[in-house]
Amino acid sequence: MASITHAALTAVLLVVALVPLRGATDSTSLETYEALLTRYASGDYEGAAEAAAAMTADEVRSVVAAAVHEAEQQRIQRRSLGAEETDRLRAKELRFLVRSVLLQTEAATRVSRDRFIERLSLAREGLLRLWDFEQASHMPPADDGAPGLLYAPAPARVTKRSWLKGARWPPSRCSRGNGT
Amino acid sequence: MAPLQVFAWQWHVTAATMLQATHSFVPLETFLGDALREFRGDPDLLLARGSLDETRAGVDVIDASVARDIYTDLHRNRHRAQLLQAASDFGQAIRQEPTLYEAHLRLGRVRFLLGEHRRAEEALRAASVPGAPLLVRYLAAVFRGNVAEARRDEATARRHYERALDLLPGAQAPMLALSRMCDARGDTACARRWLVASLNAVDDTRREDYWWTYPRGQTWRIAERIAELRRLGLE
Repeated sequence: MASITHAALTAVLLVVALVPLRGATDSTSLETYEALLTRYASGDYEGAAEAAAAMTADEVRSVVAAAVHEAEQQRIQRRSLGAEETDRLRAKELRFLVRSVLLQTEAATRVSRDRFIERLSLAREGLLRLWDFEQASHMPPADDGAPGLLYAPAPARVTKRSWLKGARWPPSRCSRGNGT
Repeated sequence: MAPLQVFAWQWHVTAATMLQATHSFVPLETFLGDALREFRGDPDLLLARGSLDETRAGVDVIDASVARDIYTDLHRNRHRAQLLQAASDFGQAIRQEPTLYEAHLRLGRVRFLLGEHRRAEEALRAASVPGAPLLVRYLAAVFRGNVAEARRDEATARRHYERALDLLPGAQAPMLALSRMCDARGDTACARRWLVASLNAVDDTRREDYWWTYPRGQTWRIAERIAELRRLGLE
């Protein structure tokens, strides 16, 4: 009986000890990833993409999910934030997501052939998050009765498609190169 | 156009090019199907899909000259359907963006493979204009040489192959074509000269001929596309 109690106590202590440790690891990972994005944005494409390629897909997903969660938490409180602060948070999140898509896309060119598709899919997931973010950013606040961020409407992707249907591409095409 | 849409479009085009570069044909087919549902009628995506069909058709029938003897009707019909599908995508791409010279080039080659020599020459001529990229003008000259050969117009064929060499002096394909033409008319010394030149023109580190990468679609534009994606995302 005593040994069972002792074992249970040990388990509880272990869990208590690990919880803050896990939090610290997540936080460090996010910081490290953000530093990687900054490194990429400053022009070290090769170095940053190499480092990103060394991460596993699950690691990347976890870090990006943590960043998105953090941003969502901040946005939930946006009523108490001024317009300037709201814009700043939005720009920060947008920058994070765009840079993450870029970094993962370039990382795909630096992984082994069997990991290439997985890594490119990861970049595409980032792009879909970007769509969802854009969609959510143009929705009314959650507290005015309309579905908002908290409800994260499932048909966001359907809405996105219909939004794209109206898109017209030719005008800006002139500015793009033709490989000449 | 909203900047995010432009970024997303550029990402799709870049990713498609990366899939071409790695010969990831099965995922590329699915990817392009999805992308063309999002960006309907986009010329660059149509060009990529047409290039995929063209390459697949090329793998299906390695030597068209013996196709009638060694392949079943079913096989040949499927091959033809792939080429027609590619031609349709290239044609649509050109209608959307007439200065997409690579689409003219590939349409010309596909028309040639379909046996439509006059229409092939028309498309290839449209790809031979000064504004077209060097790669396109070079390959257009090679393919026009092929068309002229098929029409048994040896002088014109030779002129096109020589023009291709003017554009890309280290290219192997026109040298081999000229060697073969010399051999066909019994000029062994001429055939040997071009053959030796073609062997000297290439080694493990030096492959100037764009024909090497032609089956990989728009891989030749990958650096430009990644740079543009960076610019859109970071500016």
